[in-house]
Amino acid sequence: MANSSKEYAYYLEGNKIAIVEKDVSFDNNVDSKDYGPGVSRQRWESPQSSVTNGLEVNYVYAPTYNLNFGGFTIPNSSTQGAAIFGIFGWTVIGGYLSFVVGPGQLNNGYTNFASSGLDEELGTAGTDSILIGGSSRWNGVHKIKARGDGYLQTNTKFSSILEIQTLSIDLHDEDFTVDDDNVGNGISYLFQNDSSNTVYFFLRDGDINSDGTQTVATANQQIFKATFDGNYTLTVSHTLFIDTLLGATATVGTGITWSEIAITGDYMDDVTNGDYHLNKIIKDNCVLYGKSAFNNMEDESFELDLPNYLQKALVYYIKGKLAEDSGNIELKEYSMREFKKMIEKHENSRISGLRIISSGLHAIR
Amino acid sequence: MDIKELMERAGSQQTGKIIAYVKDGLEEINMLTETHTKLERFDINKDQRFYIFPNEMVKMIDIRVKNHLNSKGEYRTIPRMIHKPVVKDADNT
Repeated sequence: MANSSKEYAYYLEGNKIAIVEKDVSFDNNVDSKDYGPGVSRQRWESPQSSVTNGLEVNYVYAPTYNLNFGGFTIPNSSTQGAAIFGIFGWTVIGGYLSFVVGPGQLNNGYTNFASSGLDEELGTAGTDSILIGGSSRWNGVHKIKARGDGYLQTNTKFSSILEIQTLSIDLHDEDFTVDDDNVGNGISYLFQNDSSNTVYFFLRDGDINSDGTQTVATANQQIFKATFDGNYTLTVSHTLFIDTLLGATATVGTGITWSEIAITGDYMDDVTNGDYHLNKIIKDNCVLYGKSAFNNMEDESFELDLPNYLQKALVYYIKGKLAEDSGNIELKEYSMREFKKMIEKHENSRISGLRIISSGLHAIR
Repeated sequence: MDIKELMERAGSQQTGKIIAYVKDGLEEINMLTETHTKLERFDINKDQRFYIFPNEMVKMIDIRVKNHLNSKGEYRTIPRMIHKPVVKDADNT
């Protein structure tokens, strides 16, 4: 469909941004008081259509990390040292933010982040960190809490329920539905607000009775795209995989662009009463950089990525904070004054000539 | 300049504390002047009104939307509403 002109606006609500679109469709309801030829609604509503990459946010961030990988790095590879991985989205596992890589390749089982083959790229859980880029929410450094099969759990706490564990997961490969027989109201709770939305989920090994882990079959190791019936059944339509290498020939499994393929019997095996975790995934295609691909500010060797003049201003800030700690308020005030003065001088240094405030276009002259 | 040199200039040997203050200082500097900016694009979903800001954002510079008042696929700055619209979001998510 050709691009059509729209009118948007935003307002802020808490830490969220609300996007609204002007609805100018004609009201043809004869029972409406606004009915009439040429009468439009002209009201602000939630977006009227989905737009891929439709929202652009330009923002300032503090540079507490430096990307440092060079040369050619194959995405999703375990042989390059400085690794990058295409991430489909995120979920919450055990109360912690977790990034989902899923299978990546078509019908090849999950990419196992727990594999020792990725030790060099990802590092040690509890010690090393990963960097997220290109996310609509989670850009920045996250410490690794655990590396799992198809996901990476971070130390970032997140208060939301996005997973269930049950003995009753059924997968039906004749009609591609997944349900939990409404035992424990798991699926119905997890997707309660999604009756009219597309949802994404994946399955993880379970051991609810502590009698041995039930492993998810390779065919079922997928990121599933589905719809929720409002009751306790998910109907799968597609499965997701990575398909395109950046700037090169399309190769399955070695890119960071996600595509979908219609579900067939190749991508789902029949299961009755599976003991699994089922995780809802919030779609947020982004890139995960392994520990060797960036420098995190964690020791004295970290090189500050700041203009020289502002580095000196930062010294005053540190002196001010240390003086505040020791109760020397006079020195703190002096240091902070110098800090702000240097920032103002830096700001002015980039604007030559006079600063002129002009009156507005429609001002009285 | 690396953290070590900064610690020597500030006269401190407490690495952890200085790193914490450096992070605070970088945020403070970026509140007052803009040293590092980033542009992120994300999807607009039909009927979804609320979107969450990036976690690392210190200050927002601009919000643009594709095809706002144009049909050429351009991203243009959208205005901020003074009053919230009367039509509420259906699911409040």
